[in-house]
Amino acid sequence: MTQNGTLYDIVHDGGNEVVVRLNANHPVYQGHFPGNPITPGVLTMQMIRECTGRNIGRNLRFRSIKSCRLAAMVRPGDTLRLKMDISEDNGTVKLKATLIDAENEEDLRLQLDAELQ
Amino acid sequence: MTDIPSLIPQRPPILMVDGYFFEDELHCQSELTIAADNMFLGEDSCMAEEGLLEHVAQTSAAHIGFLRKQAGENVTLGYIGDIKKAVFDNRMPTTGDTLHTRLTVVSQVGGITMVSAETSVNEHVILTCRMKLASDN
Repeated sequence: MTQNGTLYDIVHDGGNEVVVRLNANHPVYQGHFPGNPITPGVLTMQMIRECTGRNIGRNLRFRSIKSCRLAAMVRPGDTLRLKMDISEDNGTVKLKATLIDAENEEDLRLQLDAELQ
Repeated sequence: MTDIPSLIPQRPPILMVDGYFFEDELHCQSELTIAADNMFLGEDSCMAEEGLLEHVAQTSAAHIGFLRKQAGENVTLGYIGDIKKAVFDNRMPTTGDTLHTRLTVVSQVGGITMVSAETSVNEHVILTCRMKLASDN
């Protein structure tokens, strides 16, 4: 299931920097958590993986995650800025990504250092 | 084997554990048989890596919930604080496969729990990782 248009919409595509808005009507919020919608951290990671794949023009899978810090909660309706530092080496994609509040650079939500293929 | 919804706050469509087996305070095991409508199945019918991570996070939540219930406390919300050293197999599981996870609690201070986990399908390891979880009081 590709999440674009369901979990989130890309509201600005600036290549290595995209702005996304999380849709409040995604079915996951029925279960995470009932009456208290919070975006699962793993779906935020999936969004970053998809945006990285979109950036380089093919689908990617995580091969390893050196670290992923979920610094602050993400909620439906949030508008977030994703910054991707992508390099490729022999088919392996190295990604360093940060996800921050679109309006407030200081408001870090997630920081990721991973390899994808 | 314990009733999962009594241990964790997650509900469908993101319920990613269907068996929990307590060993001791620092160890447990869990299972998930992947249903055809699992939300982490991709167009290639393989589970997304993030589905495995959520399964590990909910295994940790079930263990924390089990210990809280034993102590007469309520089950609370929990969140992934960080993930470290996650390594995935190059083949992801599909519908009908059963994930089997062994979890070790590395440390627990206040509401912060560090775990290490190994997830396998048919004895073949598909994910190892470390995770830090934060629980509400």
